[in-house]
Amino acid sequence: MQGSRLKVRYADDVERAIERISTILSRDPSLISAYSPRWLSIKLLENDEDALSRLRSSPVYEEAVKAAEEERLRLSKKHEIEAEILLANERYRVIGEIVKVVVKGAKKVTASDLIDKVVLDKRLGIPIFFTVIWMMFQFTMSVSAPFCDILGDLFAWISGSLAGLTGIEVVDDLFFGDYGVVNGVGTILSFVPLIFFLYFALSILEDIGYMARAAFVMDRAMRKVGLTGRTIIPMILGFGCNVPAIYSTRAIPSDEDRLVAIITNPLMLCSARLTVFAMLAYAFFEATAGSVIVSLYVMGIVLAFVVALLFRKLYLKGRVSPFILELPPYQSPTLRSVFTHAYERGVMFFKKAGTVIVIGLIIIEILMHVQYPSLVWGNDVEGSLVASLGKGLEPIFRPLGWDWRLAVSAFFGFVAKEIVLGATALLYGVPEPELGPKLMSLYTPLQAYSYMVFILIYVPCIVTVAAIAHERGWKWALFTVTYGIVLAYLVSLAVFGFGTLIYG
Amino acid sequence: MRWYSAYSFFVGLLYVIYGALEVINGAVAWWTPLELNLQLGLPLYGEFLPKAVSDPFFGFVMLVLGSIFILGGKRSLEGLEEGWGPITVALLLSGALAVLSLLVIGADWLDSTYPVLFGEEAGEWSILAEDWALNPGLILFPLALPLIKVYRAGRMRMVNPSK
Repeated sequence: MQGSRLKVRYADDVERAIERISTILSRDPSLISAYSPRWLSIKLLENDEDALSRLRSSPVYEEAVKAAEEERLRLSKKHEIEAEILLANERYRVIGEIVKVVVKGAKKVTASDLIDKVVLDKRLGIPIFFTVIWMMFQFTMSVSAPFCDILGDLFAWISGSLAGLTGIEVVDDLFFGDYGVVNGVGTILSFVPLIFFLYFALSILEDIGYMARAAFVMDRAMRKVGLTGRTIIPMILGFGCNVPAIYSTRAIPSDEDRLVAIITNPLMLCSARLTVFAMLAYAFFEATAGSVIVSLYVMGIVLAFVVALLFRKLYLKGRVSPFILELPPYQSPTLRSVFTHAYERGVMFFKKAGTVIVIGLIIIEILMHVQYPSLVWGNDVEGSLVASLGKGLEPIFRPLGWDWRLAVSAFFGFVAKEIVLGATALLYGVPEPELGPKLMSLYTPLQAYSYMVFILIYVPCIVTVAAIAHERGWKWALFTVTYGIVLAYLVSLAVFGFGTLIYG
Repeated sequence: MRWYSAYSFFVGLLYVIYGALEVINGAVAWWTPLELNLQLGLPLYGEFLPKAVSDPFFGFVMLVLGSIFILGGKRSLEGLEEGWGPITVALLLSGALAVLSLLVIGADWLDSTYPVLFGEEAGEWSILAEDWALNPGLILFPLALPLIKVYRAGRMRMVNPSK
């Protein structure tokens, strides 16, 4: 028994567009002997790269492409959606009509359908998204805080108990001193609960099926700034770490969309920067620390939108590729997989941060002891190599309200953001648990916030830069570093300037 | 009007009112040099129950929850199935906010108490001084619980459409 060929009949205006393009294509007999003109016309309307490449050698190529472009614009304007999405909708409409005829019995309305009517609503979708993200970060910041403090104090106690253990001053200082390895390891370990809670929350959202909805909901808003809804997944991954987030952009089919997603991803507040902000926010803002952190997340997202929009307008003048996605049904999260994922991420953070931070802090401690210009070992931090570097940078950062120590910490933050806190503590001559009170005695909340804004926006860490270079080449890696520093300075200056005007 | 429509409107309105107070208090506290503490709660040992915190983002979340409850009330005028979606989403999100509040209260208590483990004195902690304990997101959630009947009735109909 043979089935009959089914011709999908689209809406009248779409059929007219297909007819126009088919007529042009039919003038090339060799082309229509190889491909169905109707199929090729539909693919041209969808701006399919593969179809364009097949057509390139045809004498009717330019005329067909021009007609397809005109029809695409006309359909997009009329229906207020991309032609590709319009055609996909039309296919689903046809499927719906076939199902109505051949499937007996009423279609069951599922709980997922009813919930999606709210979660994907035009007006409520984005506010619900922000609500979910706010709750996620409040959970991460506030609930993990005591566990972070307990671990930090535990290692400080261990380090204090072992002080002077070997009797050899250099070894005791290096391992058990206030800035020694044990305290350093304790500092890193104290952030593992924060990372664990973050990935715990992200895993729950992934498992219940909300992440796909988040991408869908944000697509409409993100298209207006030159980003596709698919970018939301790397953006949310960037809240964990920018490195895997940059590699995850490989899932974005369009090369231009992928480039925009890559260069804007460093603006996502990663977990390394979160550790810096957690300390500063709790020290300076106490009960509202969670919301201060959320404001930084929002700032990063808004700046990513602004950069994407400018980049599209000034450099990449192409259009954003359409986003079509089948949503999985909602389901209960599997606690085992959530815990496993969160645990693995916590361990990964500890291993990466442990290596980088311990080595970085040892290097900074050495630079703090080597005097400049004599290059001898000493204890005068103000006369050290690191102080010379910082004092050289200080005039640039004085308008932001910083002294040379914060400038040096930001400088070393280029290696890894996790180093910023440890470096700052070293430079101010206090153990990390006492850094908050020390900074509060020297700076105002406005200066602290301005510093956080700078750390949020400036250079991504060296591993992120390497990932960008790997994916897009050194030209784009250097571009990202450059625009990051300039944007960070300008925004931080604006925050400090306006804040000073308002608060005095 | 069905009871759950009116009740969902009522609960939504409460969330919206407290959300607005928090947005106003928070915006003034965060972005102006002025002081403002608008409250609409029962006085309780120098505090209010519920207490509108000075946090514009918290207030925004309350406004969103209130809007979804109100939408549930409006749509359920057309029938249980129409209102089921928004009422369920509102219950889930407001429940999540209440659970979050309890977790934060526990975390703050632990943060003030753990120094005892290292031989130091515990910090001061009082449930009345804890903004998360008095926040409307926690206090109003029990009021929303009767709407669980709507959720259960809707799920029964999905499982047994003939009933």
